[in-house]
Amino acid sequence: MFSRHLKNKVFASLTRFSLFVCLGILTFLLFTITLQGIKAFSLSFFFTPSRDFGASGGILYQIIGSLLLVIVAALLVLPFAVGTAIYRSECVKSDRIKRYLDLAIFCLNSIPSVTYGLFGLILFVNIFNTGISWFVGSIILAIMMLPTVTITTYQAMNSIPQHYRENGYALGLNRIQVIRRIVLPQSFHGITTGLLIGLARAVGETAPIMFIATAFSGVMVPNGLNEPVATLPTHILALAQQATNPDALRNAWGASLTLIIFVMLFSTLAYFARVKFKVLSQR
Amino acid sequence: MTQTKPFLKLVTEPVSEAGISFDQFEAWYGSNCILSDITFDIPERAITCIVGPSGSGKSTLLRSLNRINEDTPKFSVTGDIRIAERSITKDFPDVTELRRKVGMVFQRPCVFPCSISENVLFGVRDKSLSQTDKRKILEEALKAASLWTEVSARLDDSAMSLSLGQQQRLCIARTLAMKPDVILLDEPTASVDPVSARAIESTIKALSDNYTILMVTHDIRQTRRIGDHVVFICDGQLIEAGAGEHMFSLKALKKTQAYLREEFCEC
Repeated sequence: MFSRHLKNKVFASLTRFSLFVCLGILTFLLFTITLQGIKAFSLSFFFTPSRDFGASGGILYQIIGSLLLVIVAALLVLPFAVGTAIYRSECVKSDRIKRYLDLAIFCLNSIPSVTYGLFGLILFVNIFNTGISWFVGSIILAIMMLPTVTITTYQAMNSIPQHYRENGYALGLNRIQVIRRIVLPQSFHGITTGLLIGLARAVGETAPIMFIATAFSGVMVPNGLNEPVATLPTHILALAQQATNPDALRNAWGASLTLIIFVMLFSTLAYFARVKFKVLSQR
Repeated sequence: MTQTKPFLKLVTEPVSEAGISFDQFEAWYGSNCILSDITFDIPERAITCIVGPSGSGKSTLLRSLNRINEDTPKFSVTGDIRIAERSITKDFPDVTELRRKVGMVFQRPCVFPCSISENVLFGVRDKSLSQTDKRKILEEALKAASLWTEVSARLDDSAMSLSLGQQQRLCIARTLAMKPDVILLDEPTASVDPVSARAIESTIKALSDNYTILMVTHDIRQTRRIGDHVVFICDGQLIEAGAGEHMFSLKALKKTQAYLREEFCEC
């Protein structure tokens, strides 16, 4: 009896310790970045362009560039991710093909982000001769987001009990109607969550867009598809290289805190979207 | 006299002659024979109860009638089933047309996450219908499913707010709104309490004057109460089929008598 209680206590303590380690790391990171980054925060920091290679001025164009890249990436990824998830969930009957498809999606998810950047550089910049283009960056980010959005959407579709579909078919609905009227409305929370989690990941990426979509300085709002943008991650990278300059370092912390706020905003929205739309779909 | 469109015909009116014939019907899952050499007739406008032990193939038989098993991998059938002299495979190249003629209510009530009225009209897809027409179909289907008095004041409420018994009758109403010729019921009272089960039974009994109803059930007393005809299936074989009085009498086969007396299953 004593031994069982002791084992339970040791197990509970170990799991609690793991939780504290995770929360501790997160708290430490957030605390440090907030403490350092808040010093750079002011209205002008958000609404003025950077000057002196970022050492002075604000991060207006970096915010616009980052949002432009990820929002267009989200629009590009949505039809492909939902289409793949529908095919995986509703059209494939063979378990073996499903396993291969899952493997392919997970492989896509595990490719290092710098490889995506290199792929974009070779395919678009070298072969298609697009030059440095924010739109190419959006395409690469969309490819990067594809597995996240697809898996989340597929899992939402898979969680719909089979008898909903059967009832639809029994009412004389064909497959397209079952997908449109039963499957999609009930997996809307998964699509939204996947998209927002994908956005949260994409907004912080540096490597995939570094060679193909951004320039480190002298970039404003793009006038066409074949122009570079400034982004928050590359701005932080550029400023970190001037670490001996205290003004540049302060702005780097400020830009980092802004980036963290964007990531947390997307993650929080993803959480609430999941709860809200799941409740709506169950009404 | 005003000419009414076919869809406006009262759901409580006779729809069509819909006797069902199974002709050497067999169902296979891979190399496993689920149903073997099933040949019998089901009379129209009556309740036919399909009984038998678990795993005997009752639900497979029922689900074969609207070809809902068709999408199951490795599932195949041979032989034929005819409804009102029309083969369900050869005469219904579009399976959705067959499923609109042969409505089905499943064991577990399954309402869609929308309002009561939207649920009833879920399968009604005729875009030429006016709001008045839809309202009429809605009212008739709910009345026929004995649910109108309970929900008429809250048609826009979520269907999820109904009790399980009411949800099952809503599923029946949703099927009736399609104006089927045949209604398939797969253990419709298995998931609900006895009071709701009785309400559903009464609804089914009332519908039997106008529809050909096939019901899978494990409840022998229910079969005795409402089954005009009884089909006894065991281990994928048809043991006996006949009128309720015959099947519950001493004239039935020994195996049938033993099973329907809830004593044991000899097969």
